[in-house]
Amino acid sequence: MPGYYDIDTILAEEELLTVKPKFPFAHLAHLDPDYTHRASYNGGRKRPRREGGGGEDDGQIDDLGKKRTSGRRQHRHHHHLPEGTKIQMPLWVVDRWAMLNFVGIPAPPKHYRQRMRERLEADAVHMNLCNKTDHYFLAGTILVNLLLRTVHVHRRNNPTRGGGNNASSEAESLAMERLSHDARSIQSSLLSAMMGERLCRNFDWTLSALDAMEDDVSDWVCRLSTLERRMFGRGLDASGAVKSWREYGSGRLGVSLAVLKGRTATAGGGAIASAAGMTPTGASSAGMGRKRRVVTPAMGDA
Amino acid sequence: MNYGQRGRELLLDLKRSDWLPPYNEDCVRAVLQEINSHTEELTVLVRASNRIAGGGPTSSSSSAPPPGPAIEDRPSLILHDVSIRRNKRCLLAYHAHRIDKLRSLRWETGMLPPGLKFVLSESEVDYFNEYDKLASRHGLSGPMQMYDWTADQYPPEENLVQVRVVRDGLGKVETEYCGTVELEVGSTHYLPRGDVEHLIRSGALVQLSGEESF
Repeated sequence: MPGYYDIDTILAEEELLTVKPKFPFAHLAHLDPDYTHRASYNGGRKRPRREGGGGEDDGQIDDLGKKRTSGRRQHRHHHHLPEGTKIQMPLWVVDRWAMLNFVGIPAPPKHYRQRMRERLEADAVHMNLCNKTDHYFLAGTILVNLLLRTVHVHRRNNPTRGGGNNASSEAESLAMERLSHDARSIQSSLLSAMMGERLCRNFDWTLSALDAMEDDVSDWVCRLSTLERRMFGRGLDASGAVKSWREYGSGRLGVSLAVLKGRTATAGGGAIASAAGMTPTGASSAGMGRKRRVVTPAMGDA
Repeated sequence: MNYGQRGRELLLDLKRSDWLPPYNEDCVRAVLQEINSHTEELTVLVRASNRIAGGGPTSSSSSAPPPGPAIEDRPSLILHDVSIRRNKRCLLAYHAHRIDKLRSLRWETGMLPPGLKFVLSESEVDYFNEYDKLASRHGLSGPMQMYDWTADQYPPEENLVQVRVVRDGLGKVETEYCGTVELEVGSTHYLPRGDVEHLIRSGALVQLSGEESF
């Protein structure tokens, strides 16, 4: 479950997804990239009107009867985002709309489609994922989650699957099947790309990165997504630790000072003089008793 | 109107910096302003849709209109609502990240280095000072007062560490089993880790790695 405060998750949710409204969206015509051209062609205004914002508008709305309704419809028609228009919206917006069945998702983003999946399957190691999106794996995970939930919501709202004779509902069921299949494919593609050969090669490069004279890893690192870069950093730390251990061997670990103090305090009734004044904030142990010599296991008798 | 782009800029600012970027007050204000404009827009839309639903001929008891705003108005309302929530989340994440850094800085160094003050806002400096007071009071009272809360931030690897003095005026330090050591700038010593750990954290001493110490 992604964290609320997690910055990478928030940025990954900015991934754009193409959606189609299932009915006209009022006041949102500006989301359509072609709206400006259409508005100028139709002689309409470029900016969406605020409801109740102006006197003239209110005057039109306050008319009575069908004439009023039709007039309002005509006036607001230019600011409707028409049904079926393709718009690109970030995942955090699409999530709410998709859960309420306001939009249809025709296809996943280009870099998660069949062609890209095949390329990943063929040679995941040499793919430049950073070119596609910085948070390729995280955004993909969120996308898969969204698609699966969308399918689930659709199935819950239409339990009689295949029972209806309506052609549109059949088409929608087929679209949902395709979406579900896409989601599963993306899921397995992400998993195999992240955990397969690419990961092994990533950790191989961490070994090479320690010898700065031999290999230049920048070409490799610039191809990684954010998650892989983080794993590369961790691998680098681990490789450095192993190298250090091989060169200098392992020493005997000393017991923490805090443990020693606690042990002595328990045994000796708390008459310890800890390393007085060792706390940087001035948390000195003045007045806590005499200073006592401590025997550490690592150093022997001090 | 852009939807959550200023909040995204704030977070990208955090991602680009090594520790913390200077507090971006302009961008924070812009995000707050965007939240306000979304709220105003939302209020206007809700009022308009309520007026339409309440005053129209379709709202008679016989036709029984659906409760709430019209279905075609709902996507717009939801868009404004999620934009407000999104901006709020960006702001909270931005400040939570900075506060986390400040808290860990307190336990690592115990003080606010003067060179880092310029990246913090006035409120953050106040927060650091208050947190420092609270943490110090917690460490000095209660049954756990004999423990040094700032010791061993990381698992110890060895008892003695090789250090180089980089700050002037440290004077002499009395260690538990190495006697009294005078810390002059540029000198190198092999001292018990627990005795000099706070000086390493504050930057007065630099711990030498295994390779440098050999």
